[in-house]
Amino acid sequence: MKCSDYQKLISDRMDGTLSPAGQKKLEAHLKTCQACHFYEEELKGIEAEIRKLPAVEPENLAVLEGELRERLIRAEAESRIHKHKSWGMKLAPAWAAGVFLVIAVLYLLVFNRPAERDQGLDLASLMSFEDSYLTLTQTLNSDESLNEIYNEEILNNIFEEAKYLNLEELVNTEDYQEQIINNNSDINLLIENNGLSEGL
Amino acid sequence: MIKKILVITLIGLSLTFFLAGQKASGQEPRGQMQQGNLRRNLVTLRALRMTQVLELTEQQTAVIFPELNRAEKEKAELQRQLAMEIRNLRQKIDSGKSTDEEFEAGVQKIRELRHNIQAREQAFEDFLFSRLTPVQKARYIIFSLEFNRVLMERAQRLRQAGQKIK
Repeated sequence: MKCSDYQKLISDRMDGTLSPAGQKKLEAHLKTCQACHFYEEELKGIEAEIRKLPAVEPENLAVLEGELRERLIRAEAESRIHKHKSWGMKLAPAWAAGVFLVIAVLYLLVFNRPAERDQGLDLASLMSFEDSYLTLTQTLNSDESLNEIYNEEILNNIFEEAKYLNLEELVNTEDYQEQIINNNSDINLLIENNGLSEGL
Repeated sequence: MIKKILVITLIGLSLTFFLAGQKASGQEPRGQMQQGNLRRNLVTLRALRMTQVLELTEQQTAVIFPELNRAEKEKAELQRQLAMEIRNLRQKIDSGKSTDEEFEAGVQKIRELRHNIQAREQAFEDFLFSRLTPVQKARYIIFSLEFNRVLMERAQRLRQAGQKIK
């Protein structure tokens, strides 16, 4: 595996979706790779900064964007007046644009962040696999595309675990192979029909 | 030896679902077939992860996995019936043609199935806890919560993404 693969695992771990097998592999790699270790520290730092931000509503984002645009325009106007001033002042619009970009990216990260742990999920139901399964089937209910993509993710996890545990014979059975072929052709068809992305 | 038990149990479980799927393929809608595959894969993944998290001994694996297999076969069938009854109930509401008695019968059937599923799950958990050490029991509870939470969050994320695309 390359460092870029491990960096994906780091991201999965922060999302709470990394398997125990993946965890062990990643831990082993982090002990020896300083670049990936720094990468993880950097991500943790960004996440910590994001967590410090107040809760954001979409309308607040629009207000923030408006304010930043105003500041940008003001900065541009000032820079025109004070052209003779220092390089720092000349670069004000670039600075403002940079700040705007950084804040926009941070806010996007906040919006795209997975839901807070257990938020909106009933703890008692979560303790029961059968209750969770029933809710899961009702959530995915009657949507073939969601079922296919979800199943594909689970299959990938099984292959990863089986490989880690040296249980390849488990996934070499006729049924699994058939499922993979069916699932792949179904997913290709769904992507063609609906423009759905496999990367979900 | 643990690996051998695992492989035999999980392949046995797959085969049961596979045969049940082939038997039902002519009678059940495609969605039901998909959910059969999904359930089997979820149960397999859960068993694989559980083995690692609990660090089961060979002796524990030898007694727990056959029981897990038995419980799963029964619960899968009950869940299949429950999904069918829920679908029927939806159709009854949508059609607006059903009588009170028909609604009552549908509701009773669903309550009964749900109760049976919970009872079977509880029975397996009692069996499991009688074979685990206190640390393993604690790990099992946390593992279950985490596993189920990730399943639900993935489904919710996928559904939200699907809605955005539509």
